[in-house]
Amino acid sequence: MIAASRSPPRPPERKLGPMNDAMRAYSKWADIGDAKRSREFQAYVKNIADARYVTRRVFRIVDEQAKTHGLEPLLHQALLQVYGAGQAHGITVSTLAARLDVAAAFASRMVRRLEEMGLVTREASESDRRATNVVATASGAQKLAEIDDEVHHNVAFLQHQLREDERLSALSIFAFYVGLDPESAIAEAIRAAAES
Amino acid sequence: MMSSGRTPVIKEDTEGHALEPNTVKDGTAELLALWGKGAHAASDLDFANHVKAIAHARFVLRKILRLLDEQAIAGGLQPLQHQALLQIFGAEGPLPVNKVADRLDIAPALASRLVRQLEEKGLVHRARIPDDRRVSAVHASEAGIEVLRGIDNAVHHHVNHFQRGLSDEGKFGALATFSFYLGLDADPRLALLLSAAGRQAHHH
Repeated sequence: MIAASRSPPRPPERKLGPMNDAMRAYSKWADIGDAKRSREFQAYVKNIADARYVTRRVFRIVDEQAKTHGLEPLLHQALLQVYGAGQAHGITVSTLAARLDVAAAFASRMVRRLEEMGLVTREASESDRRATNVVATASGAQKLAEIDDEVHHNVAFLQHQLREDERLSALSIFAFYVGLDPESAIAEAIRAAAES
Repeated sequence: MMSSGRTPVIKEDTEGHALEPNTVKDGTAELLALWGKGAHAASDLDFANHVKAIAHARFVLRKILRLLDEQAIAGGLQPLQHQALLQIFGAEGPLPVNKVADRLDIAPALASRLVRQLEEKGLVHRARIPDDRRVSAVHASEAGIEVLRGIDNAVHHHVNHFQRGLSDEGKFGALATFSFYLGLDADPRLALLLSAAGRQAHHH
């Protein structure tokens, strides 16, 4: 399954200017490369281990701060998805369920709970009167801002546990998660922009 | 520990609903420019779009972590055994069992049980630490490394499919939030990368 023979195109080094800086940033951050992955498997797994360690710790901090502010972690996650979807149209319950990777009935129960707490409202969709959209209220947004503030304070200490190169390496794993690995379309687009 | 007194910028309409500050359709470049400023600045400048990035990140991680767990199971490991094996092989040198617990954020007794299970499968070996004979440390066996390789290859194969469904906004919003997790969000290189991607998104 692994394409060990496939050597990912390397970023061009010749041009100067801002695009080249962007290219360097990209290659430093996102370029895991299949060859490197198989050749330096231990170093690659170390990056994964660091990325997962940081994720676990951040999630715990976020969940603890949510509870401190009176929200169960999953309700906090639901509120984040509702507010993050934008206030213009909000989010439907079925999309919310998909974004949270939970059953629709469960998402619907969470919306009801958030509604009782005054953090979201339901509104009939303008395009389809039978559909309802869930929208965050001002106090819902305020609640998120309070939790976010605490998270920012508490995450800082975590970041100092990793060296700069370790943080960059861990970020390359996240870049892979979002599809920024060297063979992705967006990586090719950035490379093409750097060459033009 | 309480709030810094920072007042988030939340615009409201007359009914008390927070308003979307940026409703333009083709706003990807603007969003990326915002996220490139770092999580703290983005949170102050435009809280709604800061949360948008967080929401993307959580969605990506939820899907990817589920996919990883599924591939671990397909590879014959319980998800937490797989996570333990990753931490053990990823460590520089043999890892003491209490460090396994710390890295996985679990109780030492559970870490000890996981290590025993991995040992029985022949995926890790236990050794005494020369400096302190009372502490035992674990390292991955050749078979353990092979299992990790197999799961990793399967993950790479499956992740592609998921990523094809992600928008550019989703990808880069998630990346901006991950950068914050690692303390790299205020790094000017992130801003450069995001602005280059924004120009690309704008042209397509």
